[in-house]
Amino acid sequence: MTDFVLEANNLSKWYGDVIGINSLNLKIPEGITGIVGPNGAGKSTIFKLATGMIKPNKGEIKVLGENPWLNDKIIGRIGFCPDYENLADYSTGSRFLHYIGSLHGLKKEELDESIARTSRLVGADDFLNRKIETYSKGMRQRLKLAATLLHDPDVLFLDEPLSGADPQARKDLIELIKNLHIERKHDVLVSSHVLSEIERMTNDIVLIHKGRVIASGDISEIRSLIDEHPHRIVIEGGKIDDLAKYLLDLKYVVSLSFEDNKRRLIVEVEKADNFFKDIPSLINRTGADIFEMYSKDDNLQAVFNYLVGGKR
Amino acid sequence: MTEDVKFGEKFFALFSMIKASTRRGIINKKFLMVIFVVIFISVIMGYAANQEPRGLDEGSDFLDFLVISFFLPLMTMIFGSSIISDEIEDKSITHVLISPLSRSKVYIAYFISLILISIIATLLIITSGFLAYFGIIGLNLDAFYIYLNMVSLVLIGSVVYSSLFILISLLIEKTLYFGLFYVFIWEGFVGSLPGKVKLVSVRHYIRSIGKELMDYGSITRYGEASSLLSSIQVLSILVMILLILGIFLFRRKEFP
Repeated sequence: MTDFVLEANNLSKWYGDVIGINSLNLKIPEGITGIVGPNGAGKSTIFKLATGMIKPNKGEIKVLGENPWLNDKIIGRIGFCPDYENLADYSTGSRFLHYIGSLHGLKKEELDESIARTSRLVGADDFLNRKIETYSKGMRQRLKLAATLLHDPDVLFLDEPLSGADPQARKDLIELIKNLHIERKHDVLVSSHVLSEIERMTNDIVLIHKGRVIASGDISEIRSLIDEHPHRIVIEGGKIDDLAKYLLDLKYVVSLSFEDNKRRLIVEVEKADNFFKDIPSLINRTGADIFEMYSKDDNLQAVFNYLVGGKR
Repeated sequence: MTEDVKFGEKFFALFSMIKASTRRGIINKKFLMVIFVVIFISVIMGYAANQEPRGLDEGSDFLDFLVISFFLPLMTMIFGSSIISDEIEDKSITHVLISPLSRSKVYIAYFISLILISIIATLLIITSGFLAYFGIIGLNLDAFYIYLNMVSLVLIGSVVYSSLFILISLLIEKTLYFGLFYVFIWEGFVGSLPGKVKLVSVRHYIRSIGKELMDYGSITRYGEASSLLSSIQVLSILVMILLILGIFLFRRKEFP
């Protein structure tokens, strides 16, 4: 028995000249883990390797302690919700779920019960008898999730499950994914290129970029990695010109810029802690009328951008 | 969970997959072509039934030439070229690949589905041709035997051609072009050549079996026919080899 839902050791996968995954090392523990990276980072490749749809060129991948390639025993314990559309549009949601359930060997009574339970869980029970071609994107995502859950898998691989859903559907799906672990005890590996969405589901994240893991662990640990990088702090209010002059004299201030007709000041600093220690006295000294101050870098997107050295 | 239950579940899963795949093959735009062929063959054979000479021999020859030698491999090739590739294209193959069915079983399920689709399509064609011809010259017991024997050849041919074309669809991207070459040049031309050359065509062995089964038509005078036993042996071994090769390739195939 392994403690890890997924393990990758020196895992590489390339498609012709294009590298999908490059010497990737990864250990995904039980619980909910988010895989975050921009499009083309290699997220979907990890899922395809983990579901045995493709095999590695180098290294190894294990799901629940075993190699998933041609391993139908392990594949049967996985629920996979891909990032692409593969629903049978000509069918109704109910008929589609019956087909998917039957592929997992669920007999009629068990299948009916499972369809009722999972469709209720994902909020798809209202539209199951409609043809899939009439579904909105959010409905399709719910149906895909229901299909993923039908056979009560041990581990769920959800590739961009919120993609294309409207804001309300996204909110609902995020709550649902959290509950899948809390209430149903599924281990979940979920990917997204929208970092704030992952942050709302879990604190355990893996950041990947160009097929490599660039950071993994608790979000607060990852966030600490940015301390050595400049922060951007936004100060909004009146009479901030004088404050800007004082700030320019401080050694840890890298740059200053005004926005919104000098009502917003963006300060780039090397030592955020020092800045937040000094700023109250500076505000008092200059008489600036500050009504909001926040760090533009205090979100996952900034962490990600820092770590990959990309454009902020 | 006992192993027996697991076996039962997998059998049920396999059955579901075959049902879905066959249904998908039949409720498909490609199947419209079968309707056109049904109309075409009904017209041709209806016309032939009004011309001289006409009789049981001629009716048998028409069904032999049009259906067994031409439309059977053609239909199997057309449906075989897409049975897996269509599911790869619209990504619905993901559902079966992430089910607990092994790749070998998935391949066998596609193979059985193709046989069923091929049989349904060819039976529609042969039945319409049979009714159009013998409905005019007279339906009797002899005509019915011709029909039953032709149906037997359709069943045998569907199995052999299905094992071939499903394998070809894994090997070659443009299966349709290869299939057309195979049907027209290989089966049509090579299979008609005199001497031992025709031994490399499936058509030869199907006609050899037909010679033993049929009582009417030029097939009964097929001079260079192999024996019934050796024809069945050759076709059985061919199907086994093609299936083993297909399973081997399908197990190695990646679905990015």
